[in-house]
Amino acid sequence: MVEKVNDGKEENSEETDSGVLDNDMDDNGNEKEENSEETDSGVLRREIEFLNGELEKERELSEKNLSKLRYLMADFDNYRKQMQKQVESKIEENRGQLFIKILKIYDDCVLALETLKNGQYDSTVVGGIQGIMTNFEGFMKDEGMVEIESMNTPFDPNVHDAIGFVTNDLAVDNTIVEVVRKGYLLNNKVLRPSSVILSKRTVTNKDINERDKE
Amino acid sequence: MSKIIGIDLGTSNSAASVMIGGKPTIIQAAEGTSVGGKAFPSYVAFTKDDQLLVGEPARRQMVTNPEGKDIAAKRKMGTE
Repeated sequence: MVEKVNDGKEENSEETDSGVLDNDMDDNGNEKEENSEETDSGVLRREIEFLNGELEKERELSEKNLSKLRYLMADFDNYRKQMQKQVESKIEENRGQLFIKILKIYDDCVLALETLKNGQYDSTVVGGIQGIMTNFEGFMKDEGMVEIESMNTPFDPNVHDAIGFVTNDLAVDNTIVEVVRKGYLLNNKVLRPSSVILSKRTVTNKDINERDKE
Repeated sequence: MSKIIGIDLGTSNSAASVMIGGKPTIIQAAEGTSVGGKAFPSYVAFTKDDQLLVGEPARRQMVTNPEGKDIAAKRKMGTE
């Protein structure tokens, strides 16, 4: 736009120059000056008109862009709300499907409890409960849950939660000697860390002296 | 485009959030939700093999490494 204005200026100045040259050819000096002033004011008027036109065009463009932006923002807001609703609905659906699977195991638990309440404590009931446990483990496996192997492994703070230690000179330092609560991974991500108890070597006076030297 | 994060440095738990779509959103720790919800414990630890642990893993190994951990660091700010 600036270039255009400058071009306009150059053109106009050429016109003015040529005008001046034409007037130079005249013999009357006063007439020359008047004509020169008229040409200057004409150039300025044309320049102002041109700039006003450009300004109007820019205003229209700006209004158009602003209106487009408002529509886009409204569209985006609606899309975000729609997506949120879809996500919530998907979560509800998945929860429902999960509960249907759990309900099957729950029904078996209720039946087992009813049997026990009726005074049946034979091996078939124990077998039934073991079956329920197997079903439950199968369900967890299907959902991508894997038990964290902890016993006799070195302590890893990323998957284990140390809740205590016992002095044990036979085991390697910081080895898991007891699992208080099992931990699980869900699709390779820690769902719950294992709560574990670790082995610790007895600290002797020799160890303390060596540590102090370091 | 660079983003600004807001940090809540709490005594027990800390959290960081960023503006996403005009709303402040908490940045979850890699370990997912912990005892403090989306925030993570204000724990830092250096293991015996010079490994730096932050947040939940640092809290989990506190029993085994009492010398290498630092908890409630906020209370120690400004002290030597």
